Amino acid sequence: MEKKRYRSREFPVLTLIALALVLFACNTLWGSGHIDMEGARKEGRATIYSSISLEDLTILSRAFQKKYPWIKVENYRAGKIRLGQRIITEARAGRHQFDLLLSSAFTTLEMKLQKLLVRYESPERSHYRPELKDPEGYWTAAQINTMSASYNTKLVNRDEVPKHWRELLNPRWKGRIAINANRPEWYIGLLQMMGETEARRYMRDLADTKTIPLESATLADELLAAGEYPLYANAAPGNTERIMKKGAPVDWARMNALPTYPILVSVAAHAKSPNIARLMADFLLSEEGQRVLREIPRIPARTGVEPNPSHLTRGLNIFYININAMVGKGDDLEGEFRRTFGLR
Amino acid sequence: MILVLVGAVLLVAYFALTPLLMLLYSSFSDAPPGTLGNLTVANFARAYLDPEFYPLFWNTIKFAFGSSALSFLLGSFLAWICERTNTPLRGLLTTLVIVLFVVPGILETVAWILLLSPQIGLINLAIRKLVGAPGFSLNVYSLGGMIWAESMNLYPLVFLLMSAAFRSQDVAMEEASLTCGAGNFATLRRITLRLVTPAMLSVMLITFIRAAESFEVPALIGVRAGIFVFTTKIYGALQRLRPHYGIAGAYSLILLLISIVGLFSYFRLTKAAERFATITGKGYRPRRIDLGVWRYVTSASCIFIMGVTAILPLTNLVWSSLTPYMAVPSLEMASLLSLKSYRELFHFPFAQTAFVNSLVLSFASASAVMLLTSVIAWITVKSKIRGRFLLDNLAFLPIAIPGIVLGVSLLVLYLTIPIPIYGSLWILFIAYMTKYLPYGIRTASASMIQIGKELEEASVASGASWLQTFRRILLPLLMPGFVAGWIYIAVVSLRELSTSILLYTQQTIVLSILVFDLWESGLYSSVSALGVLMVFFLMVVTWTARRIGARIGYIE
Repeated sequence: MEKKRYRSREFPVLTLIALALVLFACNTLWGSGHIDMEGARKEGRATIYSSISLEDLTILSRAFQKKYPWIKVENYRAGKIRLGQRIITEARAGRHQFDLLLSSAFTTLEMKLQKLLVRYESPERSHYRPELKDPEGYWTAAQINTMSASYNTKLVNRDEVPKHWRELLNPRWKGRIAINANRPEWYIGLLQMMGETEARRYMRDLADTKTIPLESATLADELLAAGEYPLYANAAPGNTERIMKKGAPVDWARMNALPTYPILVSVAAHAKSPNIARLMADFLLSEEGQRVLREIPRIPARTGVEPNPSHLTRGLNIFYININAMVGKGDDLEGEFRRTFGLR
Repeated sequence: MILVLVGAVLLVAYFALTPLLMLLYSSFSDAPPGTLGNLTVANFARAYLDPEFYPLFWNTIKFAFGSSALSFLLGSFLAWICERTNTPLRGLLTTLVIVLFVVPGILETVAWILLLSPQIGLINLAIRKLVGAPGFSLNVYSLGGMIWAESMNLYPLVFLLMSAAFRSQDVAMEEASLTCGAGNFATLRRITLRLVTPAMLSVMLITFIRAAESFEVPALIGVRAGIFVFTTKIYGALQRLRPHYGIAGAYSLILLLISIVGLFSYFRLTKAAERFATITGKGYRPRRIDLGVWRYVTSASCIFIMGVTAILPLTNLVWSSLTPYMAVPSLEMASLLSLKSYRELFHFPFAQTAFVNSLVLSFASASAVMLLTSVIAWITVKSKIRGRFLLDNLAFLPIAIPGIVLGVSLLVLYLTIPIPIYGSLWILFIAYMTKYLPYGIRTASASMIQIGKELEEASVASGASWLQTFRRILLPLLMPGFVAGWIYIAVVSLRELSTSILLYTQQTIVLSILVFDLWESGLYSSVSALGVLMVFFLMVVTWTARRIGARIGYIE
């Protein structure tokens, strides 16, 4: 009697636990890199939405197609904001057009909040630092962008090159430092690096030196080369290296720490080609994909694949921005950055 | 007739009403376009109770008025010289002005930075060296600099529209004035200019609004100069992952209001349409004024103006396309010149697709807009149908819709309704139609006013149907304005970015996306190379068009 009662009570509980275990196993299997190759063959095509340049995106998708010639890849590229606006507008209308997202944290975090991404823990993730992958499995960094001050070598003597962010406050630079208003990641990076109160004071002091605000990274890089100003506070050393290679009189300062933000890869929640999306994510994160990225040249995020040139990261104090601390704050922090430097 | 008219009205309503209603709705709603929200006036409160808005608005008025006035003076002067005088080299002048259109806005603005920056500006460096005044500096980073750069962007439009108006002028009235003893200048002031009042007002209205909503000059020069205009506010509201469409809408309504007031004044001033009719039953043939020796003075002034406003920025463009990075011209840099950026350009993915798509779109949207607005202009100018003022307004008001709002409206519409054009060239075509309707209607309307009603009446009296009359009498007489509007739309549509960026796909990529992508990738030399190729292509097209025009007797 006692035994029977025990059984009748336990049965539904055990069933529920078993069901939960099966669901968990399915979820883990699905979220951790299970790709149905037959399903991928049936899907045949997929769309990447990205905020990296169309030229670079095409190099990546062509390398992927070389490996999987039976897959057709469509590329769409817009700046991080327009990209987000298009995805959200499509989603509101119930039309989900992208399978894979390759974009900055700004767009990716918002899409995660809007439940437009799905967990995917690629087997390649074990080669990535903890700061470069989402603990919940929604995104993994494919590329990193370091930030430092760049300078015009004709206008700045070697011994004047700043080595510490504080040196930008030196009266020598008054009215001679350009700020790219389209790179709020730099502001967020320093906020996390220095601590919010100290960083905000620093930024206000810097703005008081009459910094030169510019609305475009390209314009900021090129005008630095042309000698319009000697110093550009929030440059991307990767870009500076590109124009250095062409012979421009520019270089970048090896600062005490380089705030660094990633370009993230994530899979769409409503992907029409979920298997190909996972396959592409795996490829981008694999050593092979990271080498393609390195030759573009972009800075690979995977441990063990050095950038080209390697001094972009080697021996430097790279400060990885804590992406998850930005969730839901992207717009506000960007606004704060712009206002601090006299922009609206 | 009824069918054509109703069809045209419906088409204009279809193109213009969707984004306009969406703009209005989102400015009174707390939800983004395409979703249901609560009605509210909070957007207006936030937009107009913001004390920062008013100085920005005042800056906008100064900037737009200055740009409109300067571009009007420059463009009209050149148009008068080209169309109405026997100044030498005027053909070359026309080609040069037209090709200036096609230079992407970013490049043109950057060119002026490189010419007029106090630090590295070529003009400043040259004057300092030549005159020996080390302290001399023209500063592009000022309100004056912004007005100058914007006017350089706008004056080709003025030139084109005013040329069309001057071309359709009747010589009889001017001759009467001269016979009565008035001099050339008095005739110009009291007869010629008064007769082109509708075109002048149209041009001023368009240039004012274009300057008020322009983006490149305020962003690239204004921000650096610390002079902000109110498009900065619209941009700020939209440049967010969670855009404030409502606030952007509330700000845009000011532009709508300016457009409506402008149009209302235009209608008041041109109410007696027959006063401006110069193409009448008596036949007309614009006379070229013989300037005598003065023609060399006008020629020299044109060469000077073109040298400064066209040759300098174009040379800068060519120079930038040949140098590996942005640099002030020097002997040292000359040794680094190469064609590398042109080679890179040809390897750029989708370059060919973009070129073909842009050509198709440019040709199709220019033709469709001009045909449609010619019919609409007939209704608003020639007919006595009630509510014609509203129709003109409807066709003109899309000028006040920010490109991004237009893009989002079309996205929402064609994602929702079961017309399968999302992701095709059609959606871009509709976007361009909507965006360029205002330019079409102003050119067509200003030209329609110049045509007297007796020619039409004669045609109908001789038994022709309305459609026959429209096709065989009105359209040929409208040609100068039609062609001017067509050229303008065909060329500027090659530069359209703010709407296209939200609507394109890999198959429907257009040239402006390519320019933007190259620019964002830091490939400044390649953007310049693309700009040079576009200018070259347009020069060939303009030259061919002029040859064909000369053969059929349209252009001398």
